[in-house]
Amino acid sequence: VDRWQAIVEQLPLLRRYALSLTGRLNDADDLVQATAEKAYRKFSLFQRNRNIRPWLFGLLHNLYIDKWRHEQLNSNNEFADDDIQMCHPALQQDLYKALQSLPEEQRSVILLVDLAGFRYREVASILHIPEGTVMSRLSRARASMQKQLSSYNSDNIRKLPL
Amino acid sequence: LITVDEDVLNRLADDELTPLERESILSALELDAKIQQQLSKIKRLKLNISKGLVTETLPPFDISRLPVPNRSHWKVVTFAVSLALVIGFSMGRYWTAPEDTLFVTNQAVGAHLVYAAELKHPVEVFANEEAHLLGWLSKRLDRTVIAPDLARFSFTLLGGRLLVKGDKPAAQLMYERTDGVRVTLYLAQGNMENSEFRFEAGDQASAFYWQDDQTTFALIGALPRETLLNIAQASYDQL
Repeated sequence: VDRWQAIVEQLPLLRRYALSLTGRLNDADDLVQATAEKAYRKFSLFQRNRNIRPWLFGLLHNLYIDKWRHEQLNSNNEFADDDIQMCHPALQQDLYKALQSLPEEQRSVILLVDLAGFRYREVASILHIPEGTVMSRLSRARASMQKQLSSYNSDNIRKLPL
Repeated sequence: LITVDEDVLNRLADDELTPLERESILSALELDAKIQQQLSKIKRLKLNISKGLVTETLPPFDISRLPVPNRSHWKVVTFAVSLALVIGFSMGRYWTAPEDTLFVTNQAVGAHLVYAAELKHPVEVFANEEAHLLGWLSKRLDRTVIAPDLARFSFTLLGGRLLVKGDKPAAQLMYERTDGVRVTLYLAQGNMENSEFRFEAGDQASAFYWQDDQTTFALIGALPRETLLNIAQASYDQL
């Protein structure tokens, strides 16, 4: 039960990651729910010495990829503008637009590093890619976000209430 | 001396440099205003993502969607699962498995015996093309296929292949230990009645199998039951 508590404590961050990844609140909440269910089913066998955060983000990411693969054929992967406007004050929307413009594989890397605060080697294990690939995707993601953001009104971004 | 490129700046901003690298880059940094500017850009972006995406206007998550109706229920489930495992341990073969699971284990164990014995062509795609292999199998099985890390048990991925289950695709991942012992992990779409771990002892190889979401898994090898169970649990945990 303590470990279940540990899972529940991660849900807000998982949800924020899912929202930034999918751009849709409904999809994000579905993903968080599915992740929680899966974690709940699995964690009687969870090895105590393993860190629970990368494990949870890994579960969520696999579910996301599965869902994404299913929907890739018959839907656009656009972010839902309504959701973004509802969830985020105007100042943050440029940031979201820049994130949206990234390919999925870069978006997940930059979010796991900067939003969820994972080490490179943790991101590598979550996404099942080599650490070198984490670095190159991160480089590309940051370069392209910086380019995007400077073409919007970058003053807005800088003046975010931190 | 370390070359100050984009990667190094990213690693500096993410605190991923070794102390030695850090020291050598910091002295280079002092001299170059352009690099400093680039570094502060990265840091600002990091800050924007870590803080800027945190928002108070998000409607609260509906807690009722979480699978914790009450704690006693969870305890019962844990108890049932551990009981099932204990009984699985002690009864082994006495378990009466439904038809479908027999079919699955026959398939999985058969594929293990046929391919693990191969010297030259144990797998279709070797582990040096792991990303390609897993991408291909994921696509065919319509599910994310991961090769669990079994290094703890001294097993490394050898590769994998596509299999046939009825008229559907299935997959086999093969691992090898330094002493040459091989285990295979079998995956197929399907829905067995029960999701808990089952053990099936065989003359040449034994198997643990289980169900997760819409996928049936089996771990097969000529190993003691306990070893096999540990590997199966580590796989379950990662898949």
